[in-house]
Amino acid sequence: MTTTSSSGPAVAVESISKRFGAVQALSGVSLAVAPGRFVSLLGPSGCGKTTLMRIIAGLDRQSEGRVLIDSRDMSRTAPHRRPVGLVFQRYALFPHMTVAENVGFALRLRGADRSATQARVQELLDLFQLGQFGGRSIDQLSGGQAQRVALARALADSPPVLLLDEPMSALDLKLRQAMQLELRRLQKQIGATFLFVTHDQDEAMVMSDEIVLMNNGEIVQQGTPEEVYGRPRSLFSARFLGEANLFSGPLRREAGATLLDAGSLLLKSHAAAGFAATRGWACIRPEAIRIEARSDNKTERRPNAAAGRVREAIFQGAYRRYVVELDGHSVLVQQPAGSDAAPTFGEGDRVDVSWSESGITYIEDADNA
Amino acid sequence: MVAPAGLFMAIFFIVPLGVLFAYSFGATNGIDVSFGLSLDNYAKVVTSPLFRDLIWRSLWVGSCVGIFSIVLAFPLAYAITLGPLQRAGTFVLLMVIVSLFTAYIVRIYAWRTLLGKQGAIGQLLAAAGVPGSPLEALSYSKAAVIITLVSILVPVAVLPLTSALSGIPPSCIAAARSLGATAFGAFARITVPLASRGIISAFALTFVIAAGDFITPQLLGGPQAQLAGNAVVSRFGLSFDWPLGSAIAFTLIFLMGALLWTMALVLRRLGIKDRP
Repeated sequence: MTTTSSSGPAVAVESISKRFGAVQALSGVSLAVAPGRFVSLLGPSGCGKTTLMRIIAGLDRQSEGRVLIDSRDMSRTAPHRRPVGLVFQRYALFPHMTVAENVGFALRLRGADRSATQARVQELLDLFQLGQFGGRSIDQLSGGQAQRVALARALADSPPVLLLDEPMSALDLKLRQAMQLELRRLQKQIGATFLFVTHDQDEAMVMSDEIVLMNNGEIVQQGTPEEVYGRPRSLFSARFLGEANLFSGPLRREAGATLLDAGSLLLKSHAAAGFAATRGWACIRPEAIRIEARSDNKTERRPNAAAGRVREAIFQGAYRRYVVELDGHSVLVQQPAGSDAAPTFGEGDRVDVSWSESGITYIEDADNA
Repeated sequence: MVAPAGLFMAIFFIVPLGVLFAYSFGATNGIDVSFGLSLDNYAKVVTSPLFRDLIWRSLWVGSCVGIFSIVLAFPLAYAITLGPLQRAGTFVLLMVIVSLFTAYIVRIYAWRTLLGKQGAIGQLLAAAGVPGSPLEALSYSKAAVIITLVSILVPVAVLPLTSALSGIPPSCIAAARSLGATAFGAFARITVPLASRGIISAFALTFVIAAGDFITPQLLGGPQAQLAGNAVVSRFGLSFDWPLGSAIAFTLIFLMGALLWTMALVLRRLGIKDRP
């Protein structure tokens, strides 16, 4: 269904900056999205992700930089000439048109003939399980139906790129989770490039081939969900995606390994190539920490292990979480809960916690921490 | 809550209007009015070229004023709701409402000093050596009446238009653009249809006030630009023919109602439904 004239990126922005009066919304953002990928722009509200999306759609004009769609420079192209579809947070359906008229809007504008338009509209309504809803007015739709109409409308003219601005935020949790998988399937099925704006890290991780993490108008980190979650490159990445145990202290090299001295704790791992900071942070995800009953009363410091006492034990269905008080630190531990899972602990239990070298990611001490 | 409002309407609106309506089927001997069921007064209104002209002119002037008021008010209402003046919106709206507090008659006299035979604009043009008097045509004419009424009624039109336009989500317009509509296409297919209720209200308000006005034509119109209202006033005030005055008034009311109703129907067909 989708055609690309070249093998270059479906969407690329180069050194995009945007100022609104005195406010710097985006500073020097560059990004290339390969065709057929599902890419999430993730970040807290006000980080510039929606502005970047509006600039790609042509609804806002960048202060500096270029926008390329399908390798063509569209920096100054009017929004109606850009081959991108757009789905809005509140769907922005046209209230004076029926469902079918909404879906067929782009085709009518293009001057497609009537029977072709009708056929395409029906095809889309069927695809989104809205076959019977063509004649309904917009205010007769539920939130989930309205969202599917908005998707169908944006896809009607088969744009090679679809931009979605937090399209799930108005749905309740169950529906949102169902729609996440549905949207992911749909994207694979039609093969278009999806650029998905969200502030919800779980949503981004569930759906994306690639996450572009943004903060303060800049791209902080970019990669697969596994990379961004597993190897955060900044304190912001570590904290924004999931939960993190963070320890700070001086770093030293010893026999090819990097050690971080966090007072009572000693952490040892292999830093990424080129990582040369002398002070920094170690990030350990809660599920990377093992927890065991205290085996002995030794108190000397060993790397990647510590003795402590359970301060809180929380059962969460699929998981058990413990907050373990160490000497001068506390760590969050998460373990799967199941019949064959590890033994469980209660508040006050004396335990040993440990982690493997690969569970540690070192982060440079940055000013924006 | 409805009952007191209904009572209020009955006492202050329906009863007096009903009395006048009853008058319109009656007759007068110049002193007393006798009620009856005669259609003579309506026959006079319909057959007399004078009254026919006055009524048509009222509808025509009212329509022109309605259309020009909307044409002038729409950009302002758009600017403060969807356009570049959103931040100043409250202030602009306040200024618009304040201008409504200025006495109507004062504004008419203000225009008279500008458009009148000895008006400022005419004198300026004469001083600048413009040959003839281009404003001769403007003073004491239908154009003068229309200009004045438009200037008075633009603020009235701004209010319903602002209210309608402020209800349009900007994302609807952005969505239309992204679906391939030009700026004008989105305006014509989304903004105007979604604002159609406001447009109809604005037209109805300005049209009814303008078509029923008699002060502006009296002060600025001259003999060629009198409206039906002037004829009604003179039947009631000068010739004391209340039945004929009532018949003129009700003919005008009926035609205004018919015109507004037709327009609403046509606009609904054209605007509210955007079918392929």
